[in-house]
Amino acid sequence: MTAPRIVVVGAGPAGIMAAREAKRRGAAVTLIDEALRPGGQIYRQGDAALASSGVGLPEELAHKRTVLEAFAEVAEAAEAVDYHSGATAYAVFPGPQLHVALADSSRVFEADALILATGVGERAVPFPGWTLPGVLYAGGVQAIMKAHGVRAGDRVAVVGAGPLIIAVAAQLAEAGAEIACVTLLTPLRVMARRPLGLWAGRGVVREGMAYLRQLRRAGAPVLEGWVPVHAEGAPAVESLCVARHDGAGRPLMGSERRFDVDMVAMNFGFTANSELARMAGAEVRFDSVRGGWVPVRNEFGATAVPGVFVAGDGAALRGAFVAAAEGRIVGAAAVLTAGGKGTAELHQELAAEFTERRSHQAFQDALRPTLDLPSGVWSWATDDTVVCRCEGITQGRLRQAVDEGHVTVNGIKRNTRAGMGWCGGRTCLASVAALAAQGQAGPPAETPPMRPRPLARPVPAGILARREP
Amino acid sequence: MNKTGKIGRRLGGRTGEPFTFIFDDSTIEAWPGESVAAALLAAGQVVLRIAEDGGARGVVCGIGLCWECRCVIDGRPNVRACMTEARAGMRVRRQQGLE
Amino acid sequence: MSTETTDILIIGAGAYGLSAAWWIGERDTGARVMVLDAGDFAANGTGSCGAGVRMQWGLELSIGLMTESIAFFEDAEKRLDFPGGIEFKQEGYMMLARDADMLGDFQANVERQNALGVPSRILSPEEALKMVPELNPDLLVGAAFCPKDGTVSPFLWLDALLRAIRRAGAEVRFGTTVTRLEQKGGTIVAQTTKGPVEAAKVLVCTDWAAPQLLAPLGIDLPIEAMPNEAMVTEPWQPVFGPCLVRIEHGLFINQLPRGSIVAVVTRELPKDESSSNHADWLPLGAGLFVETLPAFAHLNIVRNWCHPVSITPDMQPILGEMAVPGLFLAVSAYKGFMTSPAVGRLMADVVLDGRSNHPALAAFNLKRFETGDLIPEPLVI
Ligand SMILES: Cc1cc2nc3c(=O)[nH]c(=O)nc-3n(C[C@H](O)[C@H](O)[C@H](O)COP(=O)(O)OP(=O)(O)OC[C@H]3O[C@@H](n4cnc5c(N)ncnc54)[C@H](O)[C@@H]3O)c2cc1C
Ligand SMILES: Cc1cc2nc3c(=O)[nH]c(=O)nc-3n(C[C@H](O)[C@H](O)[C@H](O)COP(=O)(O)OP(=O)(O)OC[C@H]3O[C@@H](n4cnc5c(N)ncnc54)[C@H](O)[C@@H]3O)c2cc1C
Ligand code: FES
Repeated sequence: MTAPRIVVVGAGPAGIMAAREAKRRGAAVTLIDEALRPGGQIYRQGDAALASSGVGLPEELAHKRTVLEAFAEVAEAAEAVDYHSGATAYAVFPGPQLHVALADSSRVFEADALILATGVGERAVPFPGWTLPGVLYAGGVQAIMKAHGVRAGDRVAVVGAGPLIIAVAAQLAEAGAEIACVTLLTPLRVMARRPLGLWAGRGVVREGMAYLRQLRRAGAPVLEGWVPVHAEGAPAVESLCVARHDGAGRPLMGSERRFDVDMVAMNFGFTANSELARMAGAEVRFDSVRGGWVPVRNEFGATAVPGVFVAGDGAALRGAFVAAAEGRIVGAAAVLTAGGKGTAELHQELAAEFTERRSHQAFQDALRPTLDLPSGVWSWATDDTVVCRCEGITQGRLRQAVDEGHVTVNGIKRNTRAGMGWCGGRTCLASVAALAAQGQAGPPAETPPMRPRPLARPVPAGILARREP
Repeated sequence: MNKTGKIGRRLGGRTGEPFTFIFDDSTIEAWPGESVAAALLAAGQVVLRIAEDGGARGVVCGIGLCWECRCVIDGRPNVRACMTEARAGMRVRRQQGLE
Repeated sequence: MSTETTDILIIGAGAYGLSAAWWIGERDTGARVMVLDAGDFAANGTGSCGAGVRMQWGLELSIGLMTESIAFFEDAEKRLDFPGGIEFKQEGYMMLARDADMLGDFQANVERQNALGVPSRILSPEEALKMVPELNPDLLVGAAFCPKDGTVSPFLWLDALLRAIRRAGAEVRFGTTVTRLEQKGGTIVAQTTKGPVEAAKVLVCTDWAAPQLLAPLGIDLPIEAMPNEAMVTEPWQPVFGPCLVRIEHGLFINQLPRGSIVAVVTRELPKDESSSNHADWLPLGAGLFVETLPAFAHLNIVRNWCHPVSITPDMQPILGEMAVPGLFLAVSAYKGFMTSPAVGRLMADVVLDGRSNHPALAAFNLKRFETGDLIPEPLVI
């Protein structure tokens, strides 16, 4: 039998581990990532010339080493994995075949199994002033520290929901920034509702505590149960007003506090990069915390579309440890399935990986409530707040569309142009979905979005025109 | 040249020689391996673009997904500063609306 | 489920259905109008189209429809009371000739069109380059050009019509699919996914999806669906004027006022109602785009989509009343966006009065396929 062709998109923990597992099992593996260096989001690497010491705490950095060693193993092996960096996967067609933009041409990769390990992007909740220069995504601020060794501001407010806020604030403090304030929508102690989960993630919890201590030492106020109200400044951000909220996410007037800042870092959770899986025809389900519309898969990561697998955060946000364990499961399952093995055999062969994934998953379940967004957050934007940045569409215009009876995401999109620009709706469609849900007066986002069209990322015409045979 | 320790907004060490590029009327110092966005942020330049509605815009996602950091680089508009490696002598300009 | 009633039921909220609804309202007869659509706003051919409108045709009937339609687009902002307008960029259509032979044909077309009142003319390569400096000079032998042609935003056109007809009292519902039409006494009952609707008159504007609604009533329509595909670039300023056509490739390029450039490549494909993209289209579409406008090779393509168009044996519309009394049909044969203002008017007349003196109505009837009086487009297009 010829070696099965496995094509992996994403060189983060999930994709790297999947590639290594498939390689070890004798597959011919191709690994595609649009970033210049392997590592993915959390294990993002800078240029060697930056010689940066590494942003993050010991346990995270140790896991990073493990993942990057796995990459080295497959990249340096004889008959190495065919690794393409700076390569953007922009479409999936039946086969499955993956369409990829390389440096100056495009190429079709035919696969026996396609493993999509594309991770997540950050989710934002618009508030007045959120488009001012100096208001960044918190993970983005971290990425700029990791990949470019630069801190994006001197006096910073870090606002949002979930544990990333604490990590980024502490990393900024470590990098020499003054932390004006940290606000969390939901107190982190809600995690204590799942002590077993906390225990399973005790390593990460220990790191989180270390981060909190670091912030306390730096004298940074950590305000739990607070939300941003508005950012002000001209031309860039100069201050941020925050307030306690009413439990449903609406700021309580009278409780405001204003901080002078030159940067705001915000994060309200993540959206799965599921567009390639959805383009392939995978069914989706809605998970408000784990990435919005995420592909439906079996325990081996297989979607109902023959040959299409999804691994890691791109399938549902669960962090780097789950991603790595799941990468191994999916990498192995893809090869074994191509070789005609049944599920019982797979379970037997992958028992250790399943146990590991389950244990990390338990901690992720404990984290869940910190990322739940109450519906009131979608009322922060006022009518003149720009929600769709690419097309310049305001909250007022979106509300008008809803008032005129357009109550589906796609209907609002075509009526207003929101989501039609460069970012493909990554930035605004969560807001549009929330408004649509209000219009339907039903539970949020009940109707699945349309199957996405190519291109998953913008690609220059000249590159598309030059297709390698 | 090798440098260690923090230099202003720069964390940790740098190897190689710093160089400069032009941003509108200013000269910006950058180090090998930095993106245009990172070098501009290090220099305190956060306004990269004026949107069609007249509002100022800058870096948001830092990883090439949001397209908010579009500026005019060596004459070409809509180039993402966060995805473009800084090079000596480059000419970067704030983008004015749609160009 | 209890049956709702209305006087006139229009099925399909694309350009044809909404335009007909608007013109029915204009006649101010007091008739109650309901429009039902299976999808949401603009989830149709109209919302997927290349957005081109032109009077450079060879058939007098088509030229007539388009002269009227373009005059309406020019006035739409006022007539539909839609402040900001519908982004009508009226800077012409430029049909590039591949070689001297084709240019000769174009010359003949232009003479014919001029005789019918179309202000088209032949451009030298230099004139063409002056209008669109980014054009590949190697491709230029000459071109046919008509300054009255141009592009309209399909989204704004639909929104303008939708708001105007709702203001006039029409009921427009999205997300409601008509599953079957039944004759009941002198009326027609539409079974829908949200319950039955009974109407004295029903106008079907569902484009290529019409046969499945009419077949159970014994009406056999020679209409098929063929996928057609397009892409759009990121916005780029400045905006060049005319829409560009390379007939031999089925290529149509159109820069919208905001700066995004739409490119459509129409090719002969198996008949299919699917709107799935084709794996080989992007290199084809992007390849022709870059060959035509090499200076734009760096422009990012942000989206690529596919949607069926309606195909008839002579590629002309089918308009008028069907053998079932009170049942009307308007299907465009791949030019329903540009002809919608005029076709909406004449369909309103037919639905309300049972007749119209518009010559297009007499010509574009369903009977022509039995009698063999097909009406092929005389232009070499
Ligand atoms: C900016 C950011 C910062 C984060 N910081 C932290 C943190 O500090 N701590 C933490 O626990 N979690 C963090 N997360 C969450 C973290 O990303 C994940 O838990 C972990 O990285 C998941 O691993 P993964 O392999 O599933 O995906 P990722 O590590 O995200 O890897 C996905 C890879 O796929 C590539 N990719 C995606 N789409 C395409 C495409 N179409 N074509 C080609 N390549 C593509 C990307 O370039 C990326 O390298 C962060 C997420 C983001 C977005
Ligand atoms: C890529 C492409 C480029 C094109 N370029 C141009 C161009 O430049 N110029 C031009 O003039 N034309 C162009 N066309 C053709 C044009 O789009 C169509 O001719 C036109 O939109 C048809 O309008 P319509 O109102 O008849 O149909 P549509 O706009 O398709 O509307 C039909 C409506 O009927 C609804 N419907 C269908 N079945 C049912 C049912 N059973 N119950 C309820 N509702 C139903 C659908 O949901 C739909 O909304 C192009 C088409 C494509 C695909
Ligand atoms: S900051 Fe988002 S793309 Fe550059």
